[in-house]
Amino acid sequence: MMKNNIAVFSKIFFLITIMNFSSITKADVKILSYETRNGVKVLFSKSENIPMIDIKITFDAGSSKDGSLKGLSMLTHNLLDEGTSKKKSEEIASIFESTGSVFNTSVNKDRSTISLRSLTDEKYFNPCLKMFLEILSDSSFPISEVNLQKNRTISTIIENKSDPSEIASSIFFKEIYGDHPYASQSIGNENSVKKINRKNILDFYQKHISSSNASIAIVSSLPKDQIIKISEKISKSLERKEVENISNTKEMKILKEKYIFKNFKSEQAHIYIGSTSIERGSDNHIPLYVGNYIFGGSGFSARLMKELRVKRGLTYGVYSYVYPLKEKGPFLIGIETKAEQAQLSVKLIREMLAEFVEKGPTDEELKHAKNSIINGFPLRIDSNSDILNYLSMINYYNLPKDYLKTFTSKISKVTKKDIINAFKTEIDLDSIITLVVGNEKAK
Amino acid sequence: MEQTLENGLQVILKKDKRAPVVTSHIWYKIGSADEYSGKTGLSHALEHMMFKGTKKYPGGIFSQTIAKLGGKENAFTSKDYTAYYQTLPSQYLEHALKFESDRMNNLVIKKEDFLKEIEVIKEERRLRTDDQPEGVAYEQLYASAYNNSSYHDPIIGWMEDLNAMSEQDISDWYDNWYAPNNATVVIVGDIDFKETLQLIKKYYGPKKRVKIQDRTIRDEPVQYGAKEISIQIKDKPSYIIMGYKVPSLNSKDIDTSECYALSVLSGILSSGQNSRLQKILVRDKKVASYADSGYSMFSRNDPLFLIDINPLVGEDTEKIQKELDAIIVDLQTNLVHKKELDRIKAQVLASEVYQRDSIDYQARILGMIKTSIGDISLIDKYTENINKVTASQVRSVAKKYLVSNLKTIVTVNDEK
Repeated sequence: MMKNNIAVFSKIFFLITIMNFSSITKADVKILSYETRNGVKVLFSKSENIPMIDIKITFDAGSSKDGSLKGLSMLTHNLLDEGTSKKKSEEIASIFESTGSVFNTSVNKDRSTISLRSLTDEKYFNPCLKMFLEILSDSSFPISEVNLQKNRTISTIIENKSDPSEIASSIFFKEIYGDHPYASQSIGNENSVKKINRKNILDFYQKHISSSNASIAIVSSLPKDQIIKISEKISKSLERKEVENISNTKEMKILKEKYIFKNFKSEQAHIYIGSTSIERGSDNHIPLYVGNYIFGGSGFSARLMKELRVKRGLTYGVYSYVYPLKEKGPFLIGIETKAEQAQLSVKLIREMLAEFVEKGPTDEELKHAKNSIINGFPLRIDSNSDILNYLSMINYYNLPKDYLKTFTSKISKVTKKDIINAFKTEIDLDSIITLVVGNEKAK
Repeated sequence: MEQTLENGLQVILKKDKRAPVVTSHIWYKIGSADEYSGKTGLSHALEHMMFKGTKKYPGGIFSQTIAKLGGKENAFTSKDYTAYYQTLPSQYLEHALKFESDRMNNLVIKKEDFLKEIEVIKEERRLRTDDQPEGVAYEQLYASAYNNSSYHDPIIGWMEDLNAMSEQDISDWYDNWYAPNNATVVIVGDIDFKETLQLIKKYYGPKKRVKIQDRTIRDEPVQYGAKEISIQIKDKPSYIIMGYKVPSLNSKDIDTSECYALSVLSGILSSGQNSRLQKILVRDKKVASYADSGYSMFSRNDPLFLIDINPLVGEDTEKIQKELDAIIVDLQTNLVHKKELDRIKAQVLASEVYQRDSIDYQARILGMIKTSIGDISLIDKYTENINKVTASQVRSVAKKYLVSNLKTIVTVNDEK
């Protein structure tokens, strides 16, 4: 039996070694790729030395799958470990806690994840893996837990209404996404969460937390035959009777330049400036990434920080990011500054953005950014948790298996012209939304 | 590996060859607890000014070079210490040491830089404290709990002191405290001990010892009863934070097993879903949405044992306080269950393994314990000492320290 198994592995496992991006570093991630019997993709990276295992299952079940019940995905994920048909919430927690393991879930606009971190010592790992599998196959969502979690969620939503950065984020995404599912916050809103019932949650669990919708990433010191067994068990526990994959792709809103002021009592104004930008896999991703790195994505090296913090002392923090999603993700510039300085900051940022889109970076800036990104590559993959996140992303977005391997060479090829082209194509200055949340003096 | 150079610089090196990466820290034995009234926020403001350049490497050359080499850098100030670090590909370690050693005694503090940076710091204060009810409550807790201990003042400083601060204040602070004999270099990562030590000697060896004044610890006088502070802010969620004055490993005449028992007590209260605060306040009584506790035995002065609660919207803070009192009385009266102790011990054991996944975290633990307590062998003994804690010790420290004469509580309520 054992022999047979090994023969199978050698066929379906293939080894990808990423070694040659730079002769001066020895950063190296070996990724093993595998597919379970029921078709779940697995990426595994072996990490010697630390006797621990990290498992992350990624589902196409982020908040954009909420439908009209905003907050449904997050509520479902938060409730996964609150009861199975055999065990109560306390018993589940007690198994994870007494083995020192960590069970976690996350939800963003596209993806959701369920993860487990444990010691590899069987004494700890076996009981917690068993519990983990039971959650995946048999979470029961007891009504008392549903109500408790709903109340806590609503409480947080109400609290967020008194936090200027939460308010800004909520208004900004509504503005750039309109009717698109990306418009809403993953946590949902007060009315929608009130409406969610146990049946909605069970339906979501059956339809979306399913093997047909999942991929697995594992980083561990355990040998690969054991990882394969674990992966098979996980994918089996995710088999569902009926699978329904609703595609709810919706047209993106056409944006027109707009200024929004929201009155709020705080000393600082919270300012968001931006629009939609690119989808994952876009040819413009790498040039936009490098361009944004120079404009606002590299802390003190970035233009925004140099101008608004170092040169003018206007703020503690200013940044920009491009976050590609399955469909067009956001491009966002954010800053906090005392109310009196809000309009000056908006003016400076808008001018700097227009100039950057028009002229791109200087040669020196581009050279600096490339060096920084390429030299810093080993830092991106220097821990199990970093590698785990890359594996999850590669799986979910169907990125090429050599994504990490080719990353630095793609960066090194970016030209100033590529950056200008990418910004001109993806960041339309006539559709920029400017949002100021702050007191009267910020108006 | 641990060594002290002739000029008094302490060096701690730790190998971790999992990735070709290294983190290089320097920890100065100076923090906000060394400041005095009217001059609060100096240590933190100096930390900001340390990025403004030296005669040899003016402006942002240091930061630019680290960025170009693919490194990350930052700094942090606490009540007990000020620390700077760079994390970068290991072959570039020398660059980090070259710049970091240079700014130990060659910093240029210009008035024009200071005037801009102090505005940045005020923005930081507005962001983290003044616009955050929880930040205001935290600041008020320490200011109210302590009469004499210098933990009274906030790390970032009072806004009034920031308004009055000058570049000369910063410059004096720098001259008084930044010297090889008041610092610890901590390097963790893909390194060779001998080579690394040579590099450290090359850059730090020539630095001269400076006479450093003794860091005083201002003892806290007796407290006569529970202190209760009520804060009212319009349209903000309510919040409760409380602190009990407790010892640390650095306290005078302390039975150190009490510190480990307090740490276990904090775990019993708040680590995991079956912890007392979670189970009772969040799940059974359904009055809180979040509840937490915290205690650091590695602080230089006597710290606070903290408990903080986010009530469910609409829940009365007085009612929650009564529930909290009942939880504490129970811990003072009855022994905690074996299951609860085992849970804490398993979690400590596991987290010791998990933290090996981050070299930066490892360096932080080493730097913090060396700077605040002085003895890094405590790290190796930590798990063992936690394992020794018994249920009756937990009850004893609850009885001894979670009492009204050591308690301060701050509540935030919506303005009526």
